[in-house]
Amino acid sequence: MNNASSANTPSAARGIDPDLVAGIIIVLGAGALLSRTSDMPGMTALLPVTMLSALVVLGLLMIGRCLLRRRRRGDPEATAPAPLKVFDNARRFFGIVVAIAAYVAGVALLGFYTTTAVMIPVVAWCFGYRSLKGVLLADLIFTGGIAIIFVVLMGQELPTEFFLR
Amino acid sequence: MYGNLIDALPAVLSLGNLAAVVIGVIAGICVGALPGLSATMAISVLIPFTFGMDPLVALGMMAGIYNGAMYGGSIPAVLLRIPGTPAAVATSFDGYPMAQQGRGGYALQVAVVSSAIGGIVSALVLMLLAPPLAKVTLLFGPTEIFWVAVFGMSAIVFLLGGDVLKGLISAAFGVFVSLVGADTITGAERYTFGHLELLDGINIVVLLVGLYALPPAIGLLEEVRDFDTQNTGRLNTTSIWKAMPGMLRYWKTWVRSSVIGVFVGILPGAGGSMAAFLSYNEARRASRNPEEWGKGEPEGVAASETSNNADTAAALIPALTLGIPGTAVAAVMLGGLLIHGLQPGPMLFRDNPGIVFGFMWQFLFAAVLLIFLGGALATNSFAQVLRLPRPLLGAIIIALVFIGVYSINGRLFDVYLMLGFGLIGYFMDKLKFPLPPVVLGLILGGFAEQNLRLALRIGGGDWSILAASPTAKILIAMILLVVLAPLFSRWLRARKTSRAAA
Repeated sequence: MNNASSANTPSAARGIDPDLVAGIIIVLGAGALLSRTSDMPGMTALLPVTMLSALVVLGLLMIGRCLLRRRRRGDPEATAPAPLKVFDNARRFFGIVVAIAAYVAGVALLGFYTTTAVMIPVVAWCFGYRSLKGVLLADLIFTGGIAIIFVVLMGQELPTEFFLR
Repeated sequence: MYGNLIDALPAVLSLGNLAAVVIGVIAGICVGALPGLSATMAISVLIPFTFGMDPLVALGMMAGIYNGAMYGGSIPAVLLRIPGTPAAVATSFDGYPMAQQGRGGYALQVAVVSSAIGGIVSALVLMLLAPPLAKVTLLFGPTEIFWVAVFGMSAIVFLLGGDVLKGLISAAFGVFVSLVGADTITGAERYTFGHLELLDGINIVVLLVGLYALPPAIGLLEEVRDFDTQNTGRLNTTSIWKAMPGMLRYWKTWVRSSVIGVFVGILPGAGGSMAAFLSYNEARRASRNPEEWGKGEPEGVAASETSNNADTAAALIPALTLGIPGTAVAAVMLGGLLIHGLQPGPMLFRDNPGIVFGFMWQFLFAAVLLIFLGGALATNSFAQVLRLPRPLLGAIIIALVFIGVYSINGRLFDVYLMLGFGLIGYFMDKLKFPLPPVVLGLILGGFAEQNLRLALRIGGGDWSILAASPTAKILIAMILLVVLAPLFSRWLRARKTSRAAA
């Protein structure tokens, strides 16, 4: 997954270490949550305080380790592991996140079956499957199959369609 | 002790339960055959759909998927040198050269027979070892149960290998998630942020689906992969029943690899891939012609596949008896038990013997079914799943996880929560934070807290009660051993390396 050759390039070595960012987020997040334990009864707060304090300490250790690694990378004599690569393809990743968010919002606004019937061909097409016949057939089988199972056989309700409200 | 085992058999043999195992095995083979999808992911997607089912039907499907996926992983490993699951990496060493020599069909037949043998041995060991172990653990009180929970989390963090710091962060995060909701003793709210939906805590299925099912779906859409699936449909095989007598010469490998697989399965933190590599190396070491290995030696496929299936049911021994899952799949299966109101641990054997022993039988049947469902014709058909376009599969999985999570309580809030966990899981995976400790933290966190508070209440608030009994002392010693042994061996290795460099 992590391409060693690209990760070891000077630009990768100079870039922000994702572990460092993760460490900072962990410390800040756990610290913020820790401040909310003050109004909890003693025994109720016991485990939250223990776990969040542990997270703060572990996050600080992670930050310290990253800084140490960064210093070692500057030393030509020392060998330090290169930072991890987060995205295989950042553009595609953000595209997927937007697609999922749009799907969930669409389900809430338009209903499950309508949104799913649109989402499957659009997502499959946008992310590389360019067979119109295949996409439409798969869409029909999947959405139709789900409708038969959930509506006819199980009688379970999924978010209602906008035209049936 | 074993009477319950026999009593559970008639229910397992009912048509519905047998059908569940058959469907599970077929689904497992298909999922395992798809690179990037694992048994853990398949079971995570399945769990929400099993709410309305009888527990044995749901567990039968899970047992089938687990066994099927372990074999399914060998299909692309043999045909394309792309292991369908991490446990099938060692299978590709000799399986792929065999396929190149036109013996791909035979390699898959060796794989399916070896997988079935490994699975059968594993299920039998589960049946024989779990009941007596559960009986011993019934003697545990709240103090001991608290330490068992701590032991489980320590074992998975320290024995999993990799980065201990990240493992500890994962475990602490999992425990924190288990604390969200109203405190069951005082009623005080913890991290609900005014959301009534969080008062009952975070449903384990929401976390499981988010962590294990969404990131692979993102992965399918994110990566632009192009597999050469030209030859996947042509395997040139004879009937598996005709090929089987010729395979009997691998019996020593089957025995050795089964023992290794079972042993690795019982160890918390070790998984199928470790079992397969260990077994492959041992079989090669014992071989008369080790120089032929890696060039298309069927015994290499037999060694790897026997042990990665022998690991399956064995991994459930600590999971069912102590509530400590040895692998990620076992952790997800514990989640499956929990949503059916079955608390893993010694009480499970006392309170629900029909279900727990039935589950063991289902593991055995799933292993046997592999031979029937993974024969030449079936394997030819399953190989076709490799032709499924990955963007289409990714889109379908996204819709499935939505349905699964929404169906739990019929509210979108759970879907939003799942998406949040999905993103966290994606980044954790990319940054090499292990995911099993998160699930274990969620399962054992609340359990540990309840028992700790109960123990303190019994001891009148005296903390020394936690180390008062001999069992508690043994458990504390075991925790120290699990924590310190890997650190000590790492220190020894570093010292050896620095000495060698000097």
